[in-house]
Amino acid sequence: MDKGKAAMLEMFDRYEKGSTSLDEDQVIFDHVTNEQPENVSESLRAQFIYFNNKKNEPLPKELESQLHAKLVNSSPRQVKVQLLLRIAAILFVCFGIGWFTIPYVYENELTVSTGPAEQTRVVLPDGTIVFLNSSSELIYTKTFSDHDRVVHLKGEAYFDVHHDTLKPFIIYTGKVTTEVLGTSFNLRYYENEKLSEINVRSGQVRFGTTKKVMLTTGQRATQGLHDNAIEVTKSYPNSDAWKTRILSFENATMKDVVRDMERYFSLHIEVSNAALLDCHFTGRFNDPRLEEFLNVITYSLNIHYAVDGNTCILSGQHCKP
Amino acid sequence: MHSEEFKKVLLPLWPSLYRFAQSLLNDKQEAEDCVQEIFLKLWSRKDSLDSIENVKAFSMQMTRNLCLDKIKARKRVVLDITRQVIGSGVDLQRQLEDKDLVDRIEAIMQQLPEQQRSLIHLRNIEGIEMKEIAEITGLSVEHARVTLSRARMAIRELYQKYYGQR
Repeated sequence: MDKGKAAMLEMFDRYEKGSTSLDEDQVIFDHVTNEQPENVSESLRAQFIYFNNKKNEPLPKELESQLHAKLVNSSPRQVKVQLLLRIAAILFVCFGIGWFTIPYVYENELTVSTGPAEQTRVVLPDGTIVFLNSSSELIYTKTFSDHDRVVHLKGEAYFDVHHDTLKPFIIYTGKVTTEVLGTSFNLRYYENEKLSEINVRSGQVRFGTTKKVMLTTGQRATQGLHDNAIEVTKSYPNSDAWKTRILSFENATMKDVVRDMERYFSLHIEVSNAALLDCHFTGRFNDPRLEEFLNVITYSLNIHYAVDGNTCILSGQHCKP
Repeated sequence: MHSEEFKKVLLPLWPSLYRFAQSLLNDKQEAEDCVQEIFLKLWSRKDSLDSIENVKAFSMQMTRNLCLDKIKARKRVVLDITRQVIGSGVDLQRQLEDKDLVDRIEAIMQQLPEQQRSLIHLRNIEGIEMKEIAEITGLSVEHARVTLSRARMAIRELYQKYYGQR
């Protein structure tokens, strides 16, 4: 018996033991369909032809459109056919454009989006106020359910949640949920940053996915897109600067200043000398322009700055003592 | 999970769910109804879907459970196809066509117990990994392998028994 035949027999044996991989099953299929039928086990050949046949059986195409239709009509609120067609048209157009700021109705759902240079304020059905930062999207329903209040967020928003002990307020940022009763905090989830970040201003918040932590005033937590670990640290004092327009630094390290600057001014900052990141800075700004801000920082620390398009370069030898 | 994500992630699963339902119920119309029911159920709990790691396995599991319930509730007797095919007097002189082989295996598949039939469908037809199959059927990975093995051996033995060929 030649080696090739012995190898095939060994594979057939493992196939019957249920131990072959999907690739090996493919090898068996190729073998039994290419070899002369007299040389191959008929039952083996028959079953593989059967499986291939089943895989390629035509599907009821109308089922897909029926499913679409059923899902659209399943919401408790009855949507008129004309409205549906109008919505379908708006959706079709909007996917082409990319950003749209008009709230639109789709099966009881409302979406508010902001473009790259916009911020807006939304009042939810229960009185909760949401401040939406730029390049963000908030999805909620016209009326909340009986037992909870659910919204979906992409981007960044500051929430001032209306107090209601009976109905927890739940925010979905990807898979991470933030559960609140009545409190205020800043929540951030930009897909390119690959994490959800929350800074709690006041009150108590439960944050996480399958594992959750309880956070309180002055705490900050992050959860990465792909791991279960939640990191809890002290809150970033300027996490909601985009909304308050106040940047406040109390003996903050340049590392923190650079991070807050990048977020506030939407810039990329490069530091020529890593030692500069350990410098400390104290100062408070109210709605600063970029040059104003840079002038103060560089004067305090005796460093220099240069702005090139979307990048700012900070250079210097050491900090002023 | 909100509407758009639901449509992007769950709607494309319908062919796998339909094929699986069809293999269990052996009725195209019933399989279509089953798939529609499953999607309505998934839609009604779309908010909690985000916490599920593998929505495909979850949906297949739901499909299996729903189909098994329907089978139990069936009052009518399903025709014994086996006798039909075997007794159809296949002319042993002419070359067997692919269609004949397919009909034979179909008859044998109907004879297999549900679990063995499901394992064959999920592995040989849907091409799903054993770990996921274990999740869908509620068996351990090892138990799933053993069931798959039993099914494959049964196909060979029944083929030999009815058609006299190995």
